[in-house]
Parts: sequence; C-alpha cells; structure tokens
Amino acid sequence: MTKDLELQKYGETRYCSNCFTTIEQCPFAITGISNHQFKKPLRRVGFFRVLIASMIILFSTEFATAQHISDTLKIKTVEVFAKRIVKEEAGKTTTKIDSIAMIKALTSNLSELISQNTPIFIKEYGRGAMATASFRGTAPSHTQVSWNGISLNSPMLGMVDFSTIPVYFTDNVSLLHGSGSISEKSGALGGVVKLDNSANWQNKFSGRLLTGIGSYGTKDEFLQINVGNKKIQSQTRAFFNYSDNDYLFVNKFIADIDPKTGKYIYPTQRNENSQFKNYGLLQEFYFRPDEKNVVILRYWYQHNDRSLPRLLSNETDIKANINRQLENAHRPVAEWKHYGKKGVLNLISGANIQLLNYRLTTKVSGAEDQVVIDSHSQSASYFIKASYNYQISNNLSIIGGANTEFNKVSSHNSPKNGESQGYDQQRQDHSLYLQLSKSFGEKITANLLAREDFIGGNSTPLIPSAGIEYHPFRNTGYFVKGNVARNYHQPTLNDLYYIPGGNPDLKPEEGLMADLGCGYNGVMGTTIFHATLNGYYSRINNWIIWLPTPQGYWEPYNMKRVNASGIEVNTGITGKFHSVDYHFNANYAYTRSINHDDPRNWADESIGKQLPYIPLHSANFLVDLSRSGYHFTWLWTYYSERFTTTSNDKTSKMDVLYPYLMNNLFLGKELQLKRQKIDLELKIFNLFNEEYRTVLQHPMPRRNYSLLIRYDF
Amino acid sequence: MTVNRLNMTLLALLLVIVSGCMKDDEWMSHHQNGSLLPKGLFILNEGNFMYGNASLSFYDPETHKELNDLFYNVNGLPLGDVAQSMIIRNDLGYIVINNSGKIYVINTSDGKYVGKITGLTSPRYMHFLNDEKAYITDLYAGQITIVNPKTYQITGVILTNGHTSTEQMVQWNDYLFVSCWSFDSTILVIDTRTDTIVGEIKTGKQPGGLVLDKNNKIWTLCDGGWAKNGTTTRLPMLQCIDPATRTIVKSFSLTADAKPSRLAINGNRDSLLFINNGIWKFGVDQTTMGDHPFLNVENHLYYSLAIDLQTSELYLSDAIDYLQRGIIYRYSAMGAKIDSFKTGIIPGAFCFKQ
Repeated sequence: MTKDLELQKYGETRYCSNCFTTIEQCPFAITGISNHQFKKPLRRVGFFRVLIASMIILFSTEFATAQHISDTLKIKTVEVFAKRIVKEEAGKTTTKIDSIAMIKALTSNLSELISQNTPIFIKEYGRGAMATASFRGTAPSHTQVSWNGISLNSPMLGMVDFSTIPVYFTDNVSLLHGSGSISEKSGALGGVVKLDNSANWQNKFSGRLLTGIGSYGTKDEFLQINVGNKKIQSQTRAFFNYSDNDYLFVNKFIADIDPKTGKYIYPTQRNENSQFKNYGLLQEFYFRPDEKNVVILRYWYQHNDRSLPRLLSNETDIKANINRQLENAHRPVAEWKHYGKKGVLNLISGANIQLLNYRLTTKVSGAEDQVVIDSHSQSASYFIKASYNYQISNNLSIIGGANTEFNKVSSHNSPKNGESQGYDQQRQDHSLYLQLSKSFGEKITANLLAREDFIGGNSTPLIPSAGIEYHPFRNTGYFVKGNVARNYHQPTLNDLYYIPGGNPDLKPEEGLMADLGCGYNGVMGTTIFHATLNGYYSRINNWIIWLPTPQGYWEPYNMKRVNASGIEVNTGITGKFHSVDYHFNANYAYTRSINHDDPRNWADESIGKQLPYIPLHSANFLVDLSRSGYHFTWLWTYYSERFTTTSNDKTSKMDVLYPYLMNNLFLGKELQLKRQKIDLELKIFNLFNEEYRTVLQHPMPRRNYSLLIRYDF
Repeated sequence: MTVNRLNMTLLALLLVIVSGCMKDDEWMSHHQNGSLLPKGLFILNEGNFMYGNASLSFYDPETHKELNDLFYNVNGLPLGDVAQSMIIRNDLGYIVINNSGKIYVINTSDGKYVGKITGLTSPRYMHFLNDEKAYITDLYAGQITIVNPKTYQITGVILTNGHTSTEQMVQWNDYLFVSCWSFDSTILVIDTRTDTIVGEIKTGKQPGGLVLDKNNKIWTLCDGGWAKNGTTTRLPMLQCIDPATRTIVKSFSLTADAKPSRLAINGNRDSLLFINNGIWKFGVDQTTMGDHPFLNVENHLYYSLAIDLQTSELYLSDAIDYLQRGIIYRYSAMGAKIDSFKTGIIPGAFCFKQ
C-alpha cells in the first residue's frame, strides 16, 4: 500500500482516513489524491473508532459512492464532526442506505429494502409479486436503477420490477434524488437507485452461509464465498428462494347467500397459484495488477418463476386463467479503473439481457389446454461507458464522459389459436457529458454539468445542471445546498412500438427540476446524529401515460404537464445508552404529483389533482437495539391513502385505498466465535396481524414468520 | 439536547405510531336498503382492468335522476373486475363480469343480489334460449357455456373448434350466430336444438357486434384488428349476412385508420348505429357508406352507445380519461341533447328495464 497516505487501523481492517470506506474500496487511496488526507491528526483513537464504525453503518444521507465522495474529518477537542463537501457532489441530494438496514433486509428483495428505508413509494401487487417504484411522485419508468454502472431498466418497459432484485447481490444501495441523477444518466426524472458491489483486498478466505425457513412454505438459501489475495479477489454468491405463498384469507369481496337465513357467508380462501421460485448467481473477479489499475469482471444470472395473483372478486374456474411468468436475466459487466497522478479513468462495458415469457392458460374440460397468451420478449441492452475525472487543482476538477448503448427488443405474443403479433425494434443511443466542479474556499463548492444525448441518431436538446453547496460555519456539520437541471426521458420501445397501441409519435418527457436542501451532521460524545430536509419542484412536460381506448386496448399518450413537488426529511441517530447500542433512522416524504394536462372536455375532473396511487404522505422508521449479542429491530412503514382515480374521487370504497401501516419485528442473537459469527434471527412480519390490501384487490398475508441462521466465516 | 431526553422523545413517538391499524373491514359494514327502481336504464361501468372497480348505475329517464354504485350500496360487495354486459329476463338482471369469471344475478326491482353463476373463464355475453337455458360466450375458453339461469348451474359446453374467442350472439329461427372476435374473422352458426356448430362464415377481421335487421339480415361490424408491424393494411368493414344462405351479401369498407365499435340497431330495425370517432348512422337499405357522421365527435371520446328501442333516444358514454367517473349523454332520436350525467369508471354497457 502506498506509504505516503496516512492510514488508520481499525481492528483488522484498514480504513481510508477520508472516505470511511475500507482502504481497499477507496479508489483514491492508491494514488493518494490530495484531499484524501487528514487535515488534523486524530486526538482520540477511541472516539475515532466509534465514529468510523458508526459512520460505516449509519451514514444514510449525503453519502454517495467512494468514487465520488471524500470526506474530511475535522476533529477538534470539542469533538464536533464536520463533513467536507466534495466539489463533484456539490448541491446533489444523495442518500445511502445504512448497513444495518442492508443486513436486516438480506433475505428480502430490493422493494422491501427501499420501501422500509427510503422515501421512495413502492407499489406492490402481492407477496413476491411485481413491485414498482415511484420516486418523488413520478412514474415507474422515471426511476432508473443502475448496477455497477449498467442500467437495469428494461428498454422495453422502461421500469424495473424491484421484487426481482435480491438484496444479497448488492453491497451498497444509494439514491440520487431528482436532478442529482444527471451526472449518472439522463432520464431519471424521479432519481437513480444505485446498486454497487465492492471487494475487500485484505480478504484471504471468507464467506457467509444463510439458511431460512418461513411461513407458507418459504425457503431461503444463500451462500457467499470470497477468496483472494492482494492482487486478485473472487466473490461468488448464489441464492435460492422458494415459497408456496399459499396463505389463507377471508374474502370479503365475494359472498354466498345462506339459503336459510339469507345472510352472507364470506369464503375463506387460499392464495392459489402464487408460488414463486427465484435463484441466481453472481460471480465477481477483481484484479489489481499494480497500484494504478483495477479490473473487475462481473456476471449475474437470475431466474424468476412466479405468477401474478388473482383479484379478490375473481370467481373463475379454479383451472382457468392460470398465469405464469418466467424470467431469465444475464448481466455481464467488465470494468477498468485506472488511477493516474491527477485523475481517474473508468471504462465499463456490459449488457443487460432479459428474457421474459408470460403465459395465460385455461384448462377446459374435454379439450386441450387453451394457451390464451403466450408472450415472449427479449430485451437486450449493451453498454460502453467511459469517463475521466481530472483534478486540475485541489479545488478544481473536470469530468468528461461518453456512453453508448444499444437496445434491442423483440416482443411477440403467439397464442395457440390466435395470430402471432408483436414487434422487433432496436435503438442506438449515445450520450456525452462534461462536468466542472470547483470549491471556493472551504465553505462553498459548486459544479456545472452539461449532457448531450443522441437518441437513435437524433440529438436531443442540451441537458444542463448546476449545483451549489454552502457550509456556513467552520467545523460544524451544517450545510445548505441547491441544484437545478433540465432532463429528458425518452419513450420506451413499448411506448413507441407495442402492438396494439404503441405510438411512434410520442414526444420525450421533459423535466425542469429544482432542489433545495439543508441539514446537519454531527457527533456528540459517542452519539452520531444527522438530519436533512430537502424540498424539490419538478415540471414534467409531455408525461407519458397509457390509457384505455374504445377499441379495448391501451395506448400511450403525452399529457401536457405534471408538476411534482415535495419535501423529504431524513434523520438518524446512533449511539450507546448504558450498555445498549441503539440506531434509529426515520424518513418522511410529502409528495404532490399534480396533473396539469389539458382537460379532455368540460366534465374532466382530473386537472389539478394528485396522480393515482401516489400517497401524499409516506414515512418509515427503523429502530435497532443491541446488547451483548442480543438484537432487536423494529421496522415501521406508513403510506397515506391513495386514490385510484385521476379525479381523486372519494364517493366509493373503491376510489381510495386506506392508509397503509405496517410493523415488522426482528429478534435475534449473535454468537461471536473466534473469526466466525453465528446469528440466529426470528422475523415477524405484519406484527399486528393486519388484514390488508396494498392495491385494490390483492390480499396480503396476515402475520407470518421467518427463522434465519446466518453464519459468517 | 441530551441523549436521554432525545431517547424519551423517540419512545413517546413510537407509542403514538404503534396505535395505527388498517381498515379492511369497511366493505362489510356497508349495507343499505335498496329503494324500488322504476322503469329505466341500467348502466354497467366496466372499471379498470385488474382494479376490480366495476360498478352498476341506474338512470330514470322520467326524473333525470341517476343512482351510482348501486350494486355495492345495496349489497355491500364490489361488482368485480370489468363488467361486460347485462341482460334482463323475468325481472332478474344477469350481469356478466368478464375478468371475474362470473355472472351476478340481481333483482331488477331493487338491485339486490340473489345469486351468481361462477366458474366461467372470461365471459362476455349471455343469450337466453328459454327460461332454463342460456348460452354464455367467452373471450378465452374456446367454448360456449350452456347454463340453467334458474339454478345458476353450468349444464354443458359447446366446443368452438379452435376459435378461442366467442363474442356477440344473435338468433335467427333456431340458429344462433356467434361472432369470433379476438384475433379471429369468423361467425359460427349453432343449431340451438342440438347445441352443435353447423356452419362457419368467414368475415372481415375481428367481427364484433351482431344485429338482426327488419329484412331478417344479420349485420356485423369488423373492427379490422390492428396493423402488424405496420405492414398489414387494416380493412375495417360493415358486413351484411344472409342467415338463410350463411353468406355475406354486402360489405361496406371503412377507411384503413377507422376503429369502429359498438354496433347497435334502432327500434324499427332499419337503422344501424356505431361509433367511429363520431356516431355514424347507416340505413339498412343504404348502398354506400356516407361521408359524414350523424353526430360529430366534437370534444367527446365516445366509448359506448345504446338506443332506447321504444323512444329511439340515444345514450352515449364518454369515459373521459378512463380513470375517473365517465359521463353519459342522452340525445333525442334527431340528435338533440336532452341530458347528461356522471356514472362510474368507463361506462361501457347499457340494459333497459321496462
């Protein structure tokens, strides 16, 4: 390791003194870029330990990936912690999900992690079923998900099904809110969810084995093995997850009439045909031939097999309308990082290939099975991305980047007795960007960014973004930041070409976005505290929405405008009270997403109303307490009522979904062996045994349990 | 701020939060006594596919008053997912709920739920042969289901020889003509005495509506399907079939971009009506398709239509953006607006109560 960089030893792992990451994860540690050094030596190692440890587990705001952020400790004898802003990140709102939340959600999918720990609203269609995101009041396709630099959004649908991403397979989850996402990519009108993996260069042999059983025939298996030395590291992960998912519920949406009394008899039903089976493999190789180069190869394969649950009002034949969705995804990525004296070069090449088969089958007595829908779609995106971050001086840097992606979709429905229909389309998109970042003294930093996209060979208007951040007091953690940007989101290939309905004349969605935030990060004794408040306002012109037509199919069209605005609050505290280690984290979001379309006619009551299914208030809360190996975690999630109509009607029970309140409780005991750890955990989901639905007619399970054994070696 | 005080505040906050619970039971508590319904018009609001928010409305043409969410208000149950069609027989209303695979039977005097036919696949329309026998067409089953509407039991099926979708029905003597709509271009002929298919007629693409005119000719409206990869030319058309010879005797093409729907016939059975942006009228003895609609589209998005066979008054629905309560316009036979009122999500089907 480079000697000219000061390193701090903490336990067996060495940490970069400025990044709060392990030294192996800090890209600047190798070259020793100047702002990654101590401003002042630490006075108290004990305090530093607590700080570092807590920072690693806690810091859930204002903290992006190691590549872009460095934090300078300013520790005086009064023990006030201040985070120096990185000029490249000036003005951007970012959130990192803390590692306690990550480990608690290990057996979950990304939808649960996100809905329980961030202000993003997740619309979930049932246990194990599809889950889509609404970030800052926007549509599912406005949340871009990137995994180690490649986009997971389907070029066909534009969105990501968050239920298909296992938390097992990612090490860091961070959010880039609104206009803060433009440095990552264009089109994220809501924001970007960034998933990243990293290696520990000190590792020789380690791993994790997890096995769990749960209610409704649920099994979870996970294995991770890390092998390597200082030059090469291999990380292998595999998971398997199965559930019969056949929970019982009382169906109050249908009733038989008692022939004697005339009273209703509500049937008790099983959640039939809803079993799911998912498995996947993630293999990563990290090479570090010398101190200036890192080469990473990754391959992620996943298989999902499940069905979409039926509605409560369904009384079809039990053998009718059985649907099955099979999905196979292949995601290879190669990455090369070169650390020069004054800059970092990053090259990424990868692909996201998704193969989807949806079948709707009806068994008819005395006849062959009717395959009513047999839809096969293949979407493939190939990426090449290059960027160079050049430090002109200590307080001035420039980042230049160029991306190209090739998207190809083949989507066909070939029902057994019907005519096959579908489309094959492809599109090549390029993007160039340039970012200039400067600090003005120690209090102000600013950056300017311009991005130019070429969609299918046509250049789009320039996407500019500007951000500024101000730290009013020296050596304290107060900050104020702001960011403005323009952004474009292109129609997806389904929007343009889907048969029937695709509309090739759709215009791209154009967003004008502004962000203003303030906050505080601080340390008092052994207590670490942070609080942030962000306000945002986005005007999105030509918002694309699919609506039914008189012909019976759906068609996308451009709404004139949607205004999305809101407030996000995030606060957390970590510390020790007597012998109890505690960690609290809370999020609250106020989201107004208002339809400003032209009225269809005099009777249109949708103008000026909240978009359907977007809650005005959402909040979540995590409490984690531990003492001598025993640990207790409580997760609480809340969404206010959601309208199902554009007119925000409240005349019938079908017009609104009642507020959602969910409590999950986890209890466990960790045993620390020599170099190994065993953790036994009981998870109680839906603690208060609520009967509830998250969308109109999908029943959700009552209280259910899961027992997990985790073995870290 | 001390850590102690902060902890206490947080604990207090937790207690407040825990007290919440969700209100899933509100459905059950909602029962009202139905009032007696006069002569009038039932309107089925389809609701959004997979939302399960279909609803039933009733309109009294005398008093110009409408009752919305009738089924739910009277019965404390949702109607289901995608209400497709309704037919009345002996004071009972049979409501076909397409994506719930069932038919709800209500008392047409007050809207009370009296029974249901369940276990269907994707039912579309119901046709009565007599009080104890009816046919139900299906979008996906590849069969027509025979039911006893008195006992609500399925009594048999007619397999449709590889035609997955069966849609509308019209009877001529003992023969029932059934359109095969989705991805198909066929009209089946069924002998209702033997419940067997005795003939097939090839039509334009996707024949939907079927009506019988005063000349005992059957009309069908073929919506032309949709262009495949932009290569196939669409050919929507109105076709006339002689049920005796089972042949197409007349065809009137519409423009390739036309998306016609909702074929209906007036009380005298001499005029056809359908939606193609505006409302088009076509005399059954006409020899060419006119150039102008009977009612211009103006700023409406007509979704469905119905003719009062007694007054020849016209009811047109506009679903607005399909995600809010739609509106019904009532016109005189001459096309003068009489009334308008809001019902439920996507008003799609009508049924007159005499």
